[in-house]
Amino acid sequence: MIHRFLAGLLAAALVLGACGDEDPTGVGGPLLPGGVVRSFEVVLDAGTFLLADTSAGQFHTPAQVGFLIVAHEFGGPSPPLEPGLEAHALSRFGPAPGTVAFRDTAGNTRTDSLPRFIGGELLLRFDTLRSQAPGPVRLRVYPIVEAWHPGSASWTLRVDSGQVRLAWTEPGGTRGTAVDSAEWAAGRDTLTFTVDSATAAAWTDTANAARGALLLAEAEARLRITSVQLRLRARPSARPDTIVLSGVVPTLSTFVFDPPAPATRALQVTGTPTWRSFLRLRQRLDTLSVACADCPGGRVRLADVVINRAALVLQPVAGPPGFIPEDSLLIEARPVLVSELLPLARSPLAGRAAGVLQSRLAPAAFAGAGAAPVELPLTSFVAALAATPVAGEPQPLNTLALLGVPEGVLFGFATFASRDSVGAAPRLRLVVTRAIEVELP
Amino acid sequence: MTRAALLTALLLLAGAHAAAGQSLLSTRGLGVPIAPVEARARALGGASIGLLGVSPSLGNPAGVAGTGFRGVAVAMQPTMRDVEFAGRAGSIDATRFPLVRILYPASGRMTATLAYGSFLDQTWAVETEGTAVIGSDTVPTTDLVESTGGIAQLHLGAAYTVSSALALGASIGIYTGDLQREITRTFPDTLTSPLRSFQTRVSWNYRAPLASLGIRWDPLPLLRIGASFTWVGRLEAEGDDGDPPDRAYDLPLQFGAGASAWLAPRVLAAVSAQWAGWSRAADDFQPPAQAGEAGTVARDVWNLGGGLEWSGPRAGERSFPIRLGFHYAQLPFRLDSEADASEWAAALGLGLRLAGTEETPLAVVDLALERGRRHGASSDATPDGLTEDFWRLTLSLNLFGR
Repeated sequence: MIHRFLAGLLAAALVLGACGDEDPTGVGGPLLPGGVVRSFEVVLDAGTFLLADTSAGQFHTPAQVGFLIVAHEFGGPSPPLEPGLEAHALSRFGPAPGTVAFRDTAGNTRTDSLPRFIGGELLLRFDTLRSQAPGPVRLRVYPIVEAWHPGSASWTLRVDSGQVRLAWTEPGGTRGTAVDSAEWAAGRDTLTFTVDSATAAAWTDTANAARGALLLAEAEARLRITSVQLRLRARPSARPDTIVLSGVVPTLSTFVFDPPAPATRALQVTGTPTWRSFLRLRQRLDTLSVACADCPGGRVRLADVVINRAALVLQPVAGPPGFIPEDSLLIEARPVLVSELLPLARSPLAGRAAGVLQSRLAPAAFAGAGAAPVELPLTSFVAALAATPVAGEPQPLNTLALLGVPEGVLFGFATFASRDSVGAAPRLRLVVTRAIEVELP
Repeated sequence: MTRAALLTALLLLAGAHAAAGQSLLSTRGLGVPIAPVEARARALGGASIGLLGVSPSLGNPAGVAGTGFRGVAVAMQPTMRDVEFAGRAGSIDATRFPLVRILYPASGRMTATLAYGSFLDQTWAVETEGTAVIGSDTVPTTDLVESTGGIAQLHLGAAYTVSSALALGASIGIYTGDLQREITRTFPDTLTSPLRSFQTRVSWNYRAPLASLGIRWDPLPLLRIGASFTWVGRLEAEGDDGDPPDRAYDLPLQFGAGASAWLAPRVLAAVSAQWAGWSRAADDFQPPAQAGEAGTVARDVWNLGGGLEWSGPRAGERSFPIRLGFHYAQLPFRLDSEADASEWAAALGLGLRLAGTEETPLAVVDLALERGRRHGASSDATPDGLTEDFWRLTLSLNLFGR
């Protein structure tokens, strides 16, 4: 009995211990002469894969971004922007502080609720790397003298809320007598303007719908301001021989510019207001037949190959000089959940990007002709469109939005040749692989 | 047979594989034939036909005639290979189960059998590093081609003892199996512009009928002669995964003959020869897809072997037979640009009875250790061809119940 048990145990152990797989070996490569797979490149022109493209620029208005632009004759003279970009920064401040803190003669910090404001200063901080000017620039600060709406004001309209549209008497912001001026030079990150007591009182009078400061440049420049602060000088009632500074943060800031961001024939991406470009690709890419050197008949359907890589090839083109991005930028493509109930520009985007540019694009790419094309990888997105549909499953998304990463951080925008551009339209570059020989002899 | 032994047999049947990777030469044609023999015959150069004593190998359906016990025979075969081809060398290990056979004495003269054995091995894997020119770029590639599967044979048969000197046997069955081929291309050095890997997989299922007849004749008490004939229908390879095209092949008629004799009271000699008409399969091979490529050809092949068995030392009632054998086989497939392929092996074997007596064994283990070489795929481009030097261990276990 023991012998039988041992024999059965041995048999079972043999089975369990003998399960092994063949290890791949690199020895036999030449046994398969000519290889078994082929990888090759396919470039689809816009007419083959791209049904439509368009751009929309209604995202992230100047009032919503965290910077201000001041420009004068920037990018000019060149049509249609001659004499160049003009931009004014407008800031509206909150009320003056109700109390100020000061030190008494004993060195203790005390709070005074009846301070007397005797003027102040306007402090501007600049993004020196993203500010451009050929030389020193004099900046001048004015009071705004017409009621205006920070959320909707533009170069020509002081209020543009949809139902109410009121024009500035003076385009760019109706202004009073200059408050002060200061000179900015390259590398300088801070400027201070003196504000008299009457102006300070007007700017902090919340009952005054016209209150606000307007900043303009008097020489060619495009400067980027990262913060505006009004600091008031106050004499505490308990110690009138002392002057203390108290900050007033602007409640709202915006900038207005002229000409407005042009809608060119190019695909426009990012900027302020922020542009997005939408591309609708052809469904059923699997039905496309592409050239294949060693395929029967010289062609192969995309359904019969595996897409190793797909990239949208975009050709940067020169944008309006005043609107060239002030810094390098990154662009991603997000699938669009297109709905018949919503205009394309308002359709929601998928949460994950279908692809991102592999490196940042320098502003120089949009400054003139001759920039190298850039590739935006879209492998999974395109592979889904090139897969043979499965009955009962929804069609894959076929519309993409190109947008900056992140949005709302640049004033200038990127421009790429659109579907209608002759010789520079978007292309789809595919690297595909097909099996040459997997069959039985 | 006890319930435990039956359970063991079922487990073994469920786990049996027709093939688990035997030779890179199975890249050619329909693969490499694998003999469904157990360790004793393996140690005697594969001489399973006409072998005196219990012979559970599948070479001759009459070979198990007169077995008065219920039993199960299982063989396992790990192989270690050193492969050299075109200046590159490597080592590959694999294990397979060439034979599982159940014996059941239906009457005093008839023994019924159910057997599952190997036939063709189609398991191999080849990895190739190269480059691909894609547009204006040249990118490194790694191609892995994996072929997994093979064809096994399932026999239901009976052996009938006509007289003390003569037995006949017959079996019917099917060749069955499947094959998966998977090709993977990866691009190992494309970090800046990643390329997704390529993978494709196709598979086939095999079916073919078979029938086998055998005779075993003992003209003298010390001499046994056997012969067998196997007819095989057309092998249907039905495309499955990936929807590859169906294929069909004429499988070979197979003849086998062998003999064994006691040369001395404790020395047994055995020889056998088998012929398989594989050339008939060649008509079904596809021509090369492109001009200039080599096509696959097949030839009729011989499989020759023989050996000596010495009853060996004894310990009480137990003996430990020691065996020596040599085996030579032609391989049927090659490309038309290549020379024919063949293999040889020298064997050393040992028997060990674990339980029972010499007349009524209950558990017997046999071992065969072979050192051999396969050679093929030599052509103008690779004049030295492919050489596989292998160590092959066959371990078989025969369990019997009264």
